[in-house]
Amino acid sequence: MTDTVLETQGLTKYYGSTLALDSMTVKIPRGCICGFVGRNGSGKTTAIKLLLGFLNPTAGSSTLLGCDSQQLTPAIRQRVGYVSEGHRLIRWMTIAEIARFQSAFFPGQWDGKFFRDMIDYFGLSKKQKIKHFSTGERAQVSLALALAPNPELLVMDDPTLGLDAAIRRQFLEGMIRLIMQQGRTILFSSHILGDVERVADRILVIDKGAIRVDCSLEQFRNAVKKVRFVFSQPPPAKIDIEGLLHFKTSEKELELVLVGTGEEKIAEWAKSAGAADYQPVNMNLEDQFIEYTAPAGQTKLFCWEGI
Amino acid sequence: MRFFALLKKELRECLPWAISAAAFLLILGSLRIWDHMQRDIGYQYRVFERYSEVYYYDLQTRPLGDLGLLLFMTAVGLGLALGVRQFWVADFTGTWGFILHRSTRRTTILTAKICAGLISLIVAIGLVWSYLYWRANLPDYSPVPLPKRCFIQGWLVGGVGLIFYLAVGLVGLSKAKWYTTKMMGLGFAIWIFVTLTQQWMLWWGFGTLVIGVVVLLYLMWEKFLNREF
Repeated sequence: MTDTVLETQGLTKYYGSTLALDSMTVKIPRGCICGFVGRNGSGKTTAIKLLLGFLNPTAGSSTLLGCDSQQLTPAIRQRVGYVSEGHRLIRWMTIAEIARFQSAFFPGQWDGKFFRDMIDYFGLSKKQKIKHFSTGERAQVSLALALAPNPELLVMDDPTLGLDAAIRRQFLEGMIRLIMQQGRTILFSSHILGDVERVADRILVIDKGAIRVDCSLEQFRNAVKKVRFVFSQPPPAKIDIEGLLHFKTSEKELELVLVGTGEEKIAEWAKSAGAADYQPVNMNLEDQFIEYTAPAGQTKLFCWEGI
Repeated sequence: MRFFALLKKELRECLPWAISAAAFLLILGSLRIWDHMQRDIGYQYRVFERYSEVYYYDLQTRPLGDLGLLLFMTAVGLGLALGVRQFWVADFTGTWGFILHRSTRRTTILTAKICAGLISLIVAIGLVWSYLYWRANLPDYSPVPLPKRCFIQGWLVGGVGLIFYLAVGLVGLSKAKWYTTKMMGLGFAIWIFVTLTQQWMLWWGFGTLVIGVVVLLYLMWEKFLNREF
């Protein structure tokens, strides 16, 4: 068995002349819960579709469980669970019908009891057709269908999109049930950073088709910092500090967003710049993500003309 | 087991269209035959005796009357509906991902789709046509036994439905712009149909149909296996 469950090497995709994915090179080890985050249109869905062999790459390659994504065999697909964006299921089927349909593709692997338990837990009627379910309920069915075969790798494309807080919590609890089983790997894309923070141990940040971050969640949390400096006179015009992403100035204050800058370097710079005081600003993962993926340079506020 | 699960799903999706087409053809076809029965059979015999051999075939097949047009319309209509249902709807509903991420090959998925379409066409058009032919051929209905050629012609007309089914499927799978090559499959189907109407010999007609089916199947196969979803 390979220890790398998912690997991409220079994976690139163009739609006509539009670059959707730019040389994505990542390795995801077995047992990892990887949050794949990025803004809308950043290339998350394209990357997932390429990994599952639904799209052909313009350049590069990818493997799932050691098998080329473009040549995924039925045996490999049987080991991979997939939850599509928007939970698109066959609308005319009832839960019982779709479970029968799905189970036919996982002989000896489908856990009917687990599926029924999950459906009961979510409080869904087995006789109801998929088309009569709300997005949240479809998400629950989708998750139960993906988890019941007990897949080695679960790939989910923005599974919590459009779900309310309560359903999202139930959904994540369902995911955690899988995570508790040893050796299971999950790749899930999301733009809800709270979800990522709750379950992921690794983070991939994609921006404009390019992977910007590929590290443990903890490393990312420690690396991106915001520090507020207070000056007794106007702050310096030129800021020269290692790892600077953005800065924001006011009359006597300066806010810096830094990546991978150590405490000593910050203290050193504060001293050399003549700051009277400085304080780290608390940021949650969402703040860090927004700061990290914001365009480089000085932050400007959107200002409606005339207001 | 996997193939049958797919086939069952596809058949279930084709079922409403197949039932509607079969009911349409059966009801209107039966009405046509019943209408023929209302006429004086003895008079028809006398007319038959007066005419030369040139009109023999026409008179012989008179109980089926203009069923040919009805058969053609139903077969093409069902072919179009099935093609759209099986190859267009998944694009609109975004279910290709769910369908394709099966522990089976794309060829199996396509085979199940085409088998379901074929079964629907055979049952809704072929079997209903066979029933109408049998019924019109009963001694009480027809002044003279209907020729077998007429029966085979009916199946060939039904085969046009298969051509249009495959053509619409191909159009659905094509990602080209509609004003470029996307509609070429449909154009090819129309061309096959026109060619078919020019054939007097049944074998030529059958050959035209087979060529059309083989070309469209090959193109669909290529498209489905290499398409981006």
